Amino acid sequence: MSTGTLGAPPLLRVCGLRKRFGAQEVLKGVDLEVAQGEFFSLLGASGCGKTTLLRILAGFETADEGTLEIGGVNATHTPVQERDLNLVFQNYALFPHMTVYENVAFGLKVRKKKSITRQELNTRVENMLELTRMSPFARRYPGQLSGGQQQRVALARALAPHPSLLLLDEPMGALDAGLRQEMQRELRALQRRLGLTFIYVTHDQDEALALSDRIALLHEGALLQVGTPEDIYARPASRAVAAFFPEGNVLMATVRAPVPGQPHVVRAHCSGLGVEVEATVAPSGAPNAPQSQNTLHLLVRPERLHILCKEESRQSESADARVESVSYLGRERRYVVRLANGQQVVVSQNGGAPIAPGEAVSVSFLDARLHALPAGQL
Amino acid sequence: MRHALKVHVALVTLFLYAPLVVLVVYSFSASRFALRMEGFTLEWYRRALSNPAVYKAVVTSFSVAFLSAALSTGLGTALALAIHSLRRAKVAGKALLAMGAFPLLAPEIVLGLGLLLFFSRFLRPSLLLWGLELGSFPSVVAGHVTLGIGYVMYTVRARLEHFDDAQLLAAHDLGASRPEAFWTVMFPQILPGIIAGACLSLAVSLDDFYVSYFVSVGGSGFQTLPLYFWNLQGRQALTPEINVVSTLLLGFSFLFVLSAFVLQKWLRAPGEVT
Repeated sequence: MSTGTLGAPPLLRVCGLRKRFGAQEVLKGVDLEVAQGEFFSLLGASGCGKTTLLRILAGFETADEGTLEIGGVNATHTPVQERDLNLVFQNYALFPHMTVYENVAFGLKVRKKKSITRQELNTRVENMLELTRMSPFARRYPGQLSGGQQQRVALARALAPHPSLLLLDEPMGALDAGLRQEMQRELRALQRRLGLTFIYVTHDQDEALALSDRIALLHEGALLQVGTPEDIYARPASRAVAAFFPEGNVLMATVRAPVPGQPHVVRAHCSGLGVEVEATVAPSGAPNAPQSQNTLHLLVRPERLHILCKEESRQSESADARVESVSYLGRERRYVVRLANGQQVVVSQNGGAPIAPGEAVSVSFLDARLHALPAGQL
Repeated sequence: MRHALKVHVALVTLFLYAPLVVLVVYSFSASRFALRMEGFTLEWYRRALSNPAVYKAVVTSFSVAFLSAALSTGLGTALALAIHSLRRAKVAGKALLAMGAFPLLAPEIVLGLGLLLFFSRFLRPSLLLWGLELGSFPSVVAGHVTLGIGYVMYTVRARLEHFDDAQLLAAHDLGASRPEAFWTVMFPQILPGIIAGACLSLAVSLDDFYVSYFVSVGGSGFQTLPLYFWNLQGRQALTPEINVVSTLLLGFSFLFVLSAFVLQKWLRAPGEVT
């Protein structure tokens, strides 16, 4: 399992965080490091502990064990109102009795320690409103705004005190699909422009993939994997991570020989397709390191498989199969295909002539090298 | 169909307001008797307003009303906040709610009698042991507070039901201390409910007869307006003066209830859900 350790000193460091509610252990020792300027997502199904982790970061909840450092300073016991971070709430939690302007100014007015002049306050609020394109609505009340506009206000309000870290708790949850994509683009652009560190909590895999520099996958209170979206999606550290993105095909293969000069690569024979492939495996020395004649579980995403009508071509590196069903999803067609050995795989294909159920096809891998899931984690 | 509805509304309105209109009209009667309408005069208004007994009763009524409304508002708001914070603990919250609501629904005469027994058998004797005497005024104020708390609790709770507690966390997260978060975020939003409750308890106190009657110590000369009416009975023929005083009382009650509604509307932010 990767630990998410970075070279540069991290902005946020979480060590051995544990939290228990009654008999239930919600966080089972979480270690995290988030770098300055990163868009970092905490991804997990509901009940995985991501909200608790967020609440501990914000200071609404205290951890039973473990420490929390923000900007190199221990913040484990810093009171909520003194933490150098702000939170964008899931349902925005805007103040309905205040105008947009007053909402955004709230954090600046209330922090008396950072005494700023009236003029500075106005400038900063106006900058925030401009940044979030809410200037024309400054005199409106939250109840008079659309969902997307409310979200922008929540963002402006949280950014106004210039926190070094912004926490976002499923901020897109209340938006419809079209608006969500637009807001995602806007959010990402804003984060890049400000160079701010975002910690984004979501249960939506696609959202996490689209937005993040890195993702931490949380499952039942423990981190399964921390890595780039590509690491998580294409090179999952375990079957549980792989299963988080639905429709990953797992094909069995038998190790034939190591590839010389490449320590983590082996040649293997995939029985389902009846072809020889190269596969990357867990580092040797690890308990699940490959040995000759070992069985590998190859992860192949639906879009990394290719099918062709049998009559059209006859590739050497392909296997015979039959289409069982097809669904048209607009930008792609999704086929359920049964291989010669009886296994079902899902193939997603954009473009090409549609293939009808019942037709014979040939299936092949698009990649020369496949990712093998660690053994012993089934 | 729409016609029938209009007639219905008209009839209900008539049923509700005709007696009050008649009362107001009769307060201008030139007759010597309260139950007769002859001519028009403001004479009874002049007499009522210059009658020291009426004046005294008005002062008493308003002192009791404002003091008991102030106390009810404080206590009722605190009760509503307690229920709000206990709403996850279902039994405790519901129990408190029922407790606050009961005096609203209990027959006022029962409540009055209960208070009478409590004050005369327990509270006054025990206070006497300390050399303190509980007079009519504080007794009636205390009695009216038991009536008012429930109204305040209800109007404040109505506001709290639409209050998202995440707002307090948001304020806290943005740098506000807990008291600051309460006063800047929660209080302004429940204020309309507090004011509405205060206006209603004012009206209830002004209007109350049973509790005042039972709880005030007889013979001490203590009279709220409703007690003044009661004491007029039988002593002499009722003059239109009583209609005048009733009209004034009605006017004040109306004013308080109306201001409760107007203030609630006025204090609400545009687009706010309620």
